Amino acid sequence: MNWPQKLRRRSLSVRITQFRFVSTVLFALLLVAFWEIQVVNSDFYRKQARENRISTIPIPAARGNIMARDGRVLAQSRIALSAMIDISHTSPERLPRIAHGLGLDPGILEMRLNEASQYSRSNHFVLKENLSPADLAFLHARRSEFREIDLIRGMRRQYPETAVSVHTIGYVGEVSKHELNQREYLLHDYGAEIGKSGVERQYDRWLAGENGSLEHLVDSLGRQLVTVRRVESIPGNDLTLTIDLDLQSVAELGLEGRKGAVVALDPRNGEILALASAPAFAPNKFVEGFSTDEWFALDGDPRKPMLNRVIQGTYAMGSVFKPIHGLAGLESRHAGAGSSVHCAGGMQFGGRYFGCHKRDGHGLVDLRRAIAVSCDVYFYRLGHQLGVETLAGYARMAGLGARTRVDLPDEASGLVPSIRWKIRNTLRPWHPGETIVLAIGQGAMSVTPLQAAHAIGGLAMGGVWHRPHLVTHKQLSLIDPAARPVPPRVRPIDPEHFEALRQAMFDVVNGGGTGGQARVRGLEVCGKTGTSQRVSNSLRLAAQREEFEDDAWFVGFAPCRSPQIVVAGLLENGRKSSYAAALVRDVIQVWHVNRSRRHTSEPDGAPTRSEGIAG
Amino acid sequence: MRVRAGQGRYGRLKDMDWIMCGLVLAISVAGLVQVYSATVNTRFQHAFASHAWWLLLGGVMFWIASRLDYHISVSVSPLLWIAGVLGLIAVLLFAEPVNGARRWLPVPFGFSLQPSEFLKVVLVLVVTKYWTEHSTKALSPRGLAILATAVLVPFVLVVLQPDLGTALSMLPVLGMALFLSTIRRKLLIAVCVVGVLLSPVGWSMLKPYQKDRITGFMDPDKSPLDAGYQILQSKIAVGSGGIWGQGFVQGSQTQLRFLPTPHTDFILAAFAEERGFVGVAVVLALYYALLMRIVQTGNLATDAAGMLISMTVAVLLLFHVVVNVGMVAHKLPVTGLPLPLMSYGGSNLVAFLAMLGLVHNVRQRRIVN
Repeated sequence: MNWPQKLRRRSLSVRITQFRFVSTVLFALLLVAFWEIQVVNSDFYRKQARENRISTIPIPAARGNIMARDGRVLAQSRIALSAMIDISHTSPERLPRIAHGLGLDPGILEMRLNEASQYSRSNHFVLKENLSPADLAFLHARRSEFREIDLIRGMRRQYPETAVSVHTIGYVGEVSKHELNQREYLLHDYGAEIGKSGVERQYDRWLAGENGSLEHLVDSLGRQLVTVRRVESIPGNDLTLTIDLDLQSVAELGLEGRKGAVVALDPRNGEILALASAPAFAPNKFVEGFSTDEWFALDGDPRKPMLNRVIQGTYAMGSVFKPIHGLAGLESRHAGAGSSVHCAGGMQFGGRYFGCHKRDGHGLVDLRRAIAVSCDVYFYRLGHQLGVETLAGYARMAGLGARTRVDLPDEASGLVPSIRWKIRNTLRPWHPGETIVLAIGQGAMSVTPLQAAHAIGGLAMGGVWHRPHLVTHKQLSLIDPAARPVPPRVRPIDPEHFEALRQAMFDVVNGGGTGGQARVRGLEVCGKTGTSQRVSNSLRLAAQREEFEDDAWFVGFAPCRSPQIVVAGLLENGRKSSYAAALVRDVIQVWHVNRSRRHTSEPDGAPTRSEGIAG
Repeated sequence: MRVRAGQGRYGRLKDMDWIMCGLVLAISVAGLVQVYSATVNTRFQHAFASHAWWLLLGGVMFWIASRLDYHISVSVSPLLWIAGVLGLIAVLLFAEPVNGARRWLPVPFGFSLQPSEFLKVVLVLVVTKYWTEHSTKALSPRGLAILATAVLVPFVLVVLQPDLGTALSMLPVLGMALFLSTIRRKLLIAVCVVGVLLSPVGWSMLKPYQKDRITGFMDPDKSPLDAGYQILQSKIAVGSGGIWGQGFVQGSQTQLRFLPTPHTDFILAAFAEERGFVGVAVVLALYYALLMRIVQTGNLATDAAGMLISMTVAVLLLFHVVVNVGMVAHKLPVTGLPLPLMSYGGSNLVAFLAMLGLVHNVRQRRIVN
């Protein structure tokens, strides 16, 4: 055969060489491409291959129990079967059938899975907790169809049916998307359960424990071939609170059907013996989940059941402020012996009339009597003499206007007004009349029930304020070895002044004072009542609305000479302080009965103190 | 100057191109071993034995193609072409669709044939025939028309199956023929313009799954469970092989079935996972050496037919290797072209061995003194 005339071998050779060149370049490029994938980025793909073939199923840790002082359980964990889905081995078109089988909303399920694949580090996501027998039957029957679903032994928080101290303990719930971005929860997965409020949130890490994991080798269909690794979960630690369940129960019974708060402290060390806020909520509902309607009903309830009134409710302190005010008077020598005041049922001041709660007047009263009968006129005068800054200084000394730093989240700080505060916040000067109002614990000043108990308790201890807490120092040192007990704030009070105040507060209960309801047989109870206005008297009488009624206060401690318990009781719109006094009395009475029983059953215990009525 | 080689001259063992045969054997064995590793303990387990039988049959075809004077093959090629086109039409009319495409024609003894693969061999021969007949001067428009018809008729029939990859692999044969021709520049430009104008028509003819493959190639992470899945899993398989590989029957992507079709189109991904970059480099070197050997054969060929056979086979091999390896390396879209000599699939294997046999035939007849 002949070569084409015009196509000499020479020109063909050139083209063949060109083809050789192109081939060489292409092969070189292929080799470079493989170099890039197999050598440069090998680790990345190896990790992906591992994620492909290893399916990691979490083993949930049991959350630690929360117990009362005596070991009775307030919150516990129990085992509940959960269905878990492997996101990487499912596909969107399978979801409706899964949702149908488990009785879930397909739209919500899809949304949650999308979020899970976005936010979660794990491939697994809990589809449904606490499976019903019908769910289990569905999953068993379709095991081969839905290989991406695993059954795991989940752990579920359970609160006793007759939940006590729900605001203290709080509740657990699913970590929110917002929280996942916070430093504290960075290591949590989407769908993880965390403490949301109360002690559950405060001591979340201690209670939570550490989830374990089970790693399976899986094939592309999600079939589990062999278990590669098993890391057991580490259960969470138990937590014992200082709550005395008996006192707590009495407090809650007393609050039943009302809005209010009761808090009992041991003033010697700051331990919280009871912490009750009403109305309350059902914490198990947070574990089970709310329907939208249920949630709005709870969230929008005007009685605010979610509010922990003990630490988050702020109220005018009313006459409960008077012992603190009295101390200021004593120390500045304006309220000593011979500084009696005549109360005629009110006084004129700066062109305005300030009435006493007793219209026809108390007559001639000294400090002791003024506190016992809660005479307003006496304190109007004293407050005017002392001035706003002195009053505010003493209020702050007693711990008002600042958080007590109790070991609960979201505590309110309350407010102690001052001239500076007034100008900063209202751009108006302090009006002298406001000092008069502040003198009887009204006006801008607001306190939480815990602050009230803390303030009076410290006063009763002669000027020693311990930080209120729910977990003992001993246990706290286990939780955080670096934590040191917070030393009490000490501001010694002259024994003479202290004795005067103590006698006055004794009279409140036992000497014909306003708090006679708080009397307990065989026990010296001291205290101070308070009735604080929400609105002006005229508006209250005109409107006749429940939410305008006065708040009722009583803060009492016992025994008078060596206080071992201080109880603050508050009834929102409670009208009469005697109701609050009765509330506090019940708690102190139970405490007294329990203590006596303990003493008689321990014959070689500490000798009982004399509890004679002081003169 | 040229002396016709005697009949007995080129049948001898010492005239065989041992280098070429060695390269072909080495690649084929690597493929056979990988088919075994990729299918052991799976429902494709029969593939190994079947592949071995096809390899044997391919060896026979190689032998026949290297013994039978290629001029005879070239001269009967129009008949083969007609038979092949009829085969393609038969596929369209009678074949049972598999995954939405009609490709296989059943033949006795339980085998099935892919006529499109054998048409590649036929195209090599028929293009050679008309190119040599019409290129005595510059390639005439009539010659160009004949060559284009020879290639485009089967091209369209294969597109209709639909099997875009195989169809596209026919075009380089035409391209090589034009590349080696003396052709008027105007004519060449006209061909290019027509080609560009027809490409949107071509895109509109694509099936949705084919468009998916091309778009899936652009962004495999976007829909890991759909179109990009194969690509993503192949990339993970290749990447996790590292330098030295996971070892024989050890690749998790391959063995746990994350890699789809690890013994057919994606056999190199399975190979890369188990043999690593070193293994890939060796296999690519073998293909490169084989390609260069074929090109050299073309350069040394005693006549235009031998040269054109070698060069068209070379360009077919290059196209298949680059498209398949580029796909596995995630540099080119998934087209469903097998890797010559390695991928499981009898028709392709036998076709390529036959083509290589033709080249071997050319090489044996290069001795001219």
